[in-house]
Amino acid sequence: MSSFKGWRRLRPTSTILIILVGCLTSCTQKPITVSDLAASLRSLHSYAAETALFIDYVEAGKATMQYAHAHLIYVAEEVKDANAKINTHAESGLDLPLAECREQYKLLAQQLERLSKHLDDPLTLADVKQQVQHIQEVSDRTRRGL
Amino acid sequence: MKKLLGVTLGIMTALGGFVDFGQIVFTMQAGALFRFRLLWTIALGTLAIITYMEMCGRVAVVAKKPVFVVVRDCLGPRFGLLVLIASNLLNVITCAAELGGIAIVVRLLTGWPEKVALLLSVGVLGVTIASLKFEWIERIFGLGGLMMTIFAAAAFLLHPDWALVAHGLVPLLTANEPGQNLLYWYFAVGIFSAMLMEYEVHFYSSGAMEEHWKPKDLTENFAVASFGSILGALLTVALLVLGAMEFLPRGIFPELLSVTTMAGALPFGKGGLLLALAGTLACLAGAAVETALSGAYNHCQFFHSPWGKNLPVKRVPKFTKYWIGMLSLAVLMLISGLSPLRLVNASVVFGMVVMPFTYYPILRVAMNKRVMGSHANQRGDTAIGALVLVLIVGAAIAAVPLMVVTNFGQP
Repeated sequence: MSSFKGWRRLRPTSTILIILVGCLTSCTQKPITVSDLAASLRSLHSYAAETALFIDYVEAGKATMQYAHAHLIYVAEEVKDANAKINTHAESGLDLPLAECREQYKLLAQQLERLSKHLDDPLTLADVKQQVQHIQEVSDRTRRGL
Repeated sequence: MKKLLGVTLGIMTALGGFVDFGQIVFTMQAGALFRFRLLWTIALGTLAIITYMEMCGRVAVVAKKPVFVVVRDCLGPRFGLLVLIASNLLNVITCAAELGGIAIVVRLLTGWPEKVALLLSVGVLGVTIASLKFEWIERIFGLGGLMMTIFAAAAFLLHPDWALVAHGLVPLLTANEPGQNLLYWYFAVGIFSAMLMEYEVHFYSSGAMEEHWKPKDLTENFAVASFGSILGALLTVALLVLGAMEFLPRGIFPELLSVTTMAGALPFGKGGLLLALAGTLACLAGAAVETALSGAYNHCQFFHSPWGKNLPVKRVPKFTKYWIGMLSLAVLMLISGLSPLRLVNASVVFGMVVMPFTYYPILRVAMNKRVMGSHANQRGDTAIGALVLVLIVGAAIAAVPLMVVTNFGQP
């Protein structure tokens, strides 16, 4: 009887532990699926579009320097996190689009860094805008091809 | 004249204090994904918050019972305690989310590192709560939040198609786009929940008692609850319109406060950006203060400890320790690395789950003629209250599954 009581007391803790371990294991080993990759490409498009909008805003002289620098840091962090999420293996047949997605995230991160160093240079702003628009196109094309 | 001024000030304060982090995030994202199609949830949320805010105020004034006395009386001490724990956990999570948002906005304004911005902001908020009387706390943050009207001006200047906007008030069961229905319902529940966040009624009902409202003030209670909420809802509509018109055509899903503030400032110059940031800051600060104080109100009301912002600290030691504890715990959550956006999502979703256990007791007391006498609900009030409660229960059941299947509303 006492052992039964002990088992009953242990059961919720063990169940929670098993679920936690199960979740952690599945989180680390789960390969990237088509919908994961589509979501990641959609986010990539969104970050690139945000950057293009931000450049328009800076070019119009409407952003303060503190805002502009802090905003770029936040976007760069988001891009870094999003890229880290897809830094694992994918389901079969997704290797190429996954590599493309990672490459575009890398390019976007580079453009954001460039932007933060040359916020007052109109030529760099125009060039970065072209680059991020290209990233949007590639992300859309890759997503359509999934 | 003095009475009219008081009512106007109350309405303006309610309007300025209406919007918080959850509403900014959910409504702008909903607009960016579904254009105007989720406007009906704002209308429904407005009806719901007017109904229950007015009831809470009336119960506090007539029965002299703030929310957590009602919860304890109605649900009993054991289940009531569970509701108290859940509600205060929710208040801490919401407070942490709002404080995280404040640190981001301060960084955008000053360029200071986020942790420095966080600690300084919490210090300023702590001193403000400690040194000011209830009505000044309410007024400063509420009236400061009026700067958010710049978002309404920005939305108006975009010249939205008003016919299409009005069409969004008609509830639709599906998203009209394949594979988007669950996401559509996640945002519908999210907006509804964000508009009905419980801390708002905890704070409102406690405030009615702090300010010693009497039955003769019930007209003011109705005016503040209804007009304040309607004007606040119009501001929320503006946020959704901005999301629909600035972000949807560009394929942007706004996840950063720096992006949402940009939407409000786009038609204006640097002054507009500063105003949008200051308005956002006032709203988030108001919500952080309300959640911290709500936690203290709830605890003291449930355990019958003396409470009140207008009483000397020596007379309300538990109350004072509790709100300081709420702020400290929220800071610890942020320092441990939790993201404010994730916290907002969690607070809105779990807020929906806890909601029926707060609103059901209020409805029961408000309709009880023995307790409320001639101020008890009319049949119409009870019918609307019951209908809203059914919707709240439905949304509460759906909230967590929707959060899981949509991965916190990721498109």
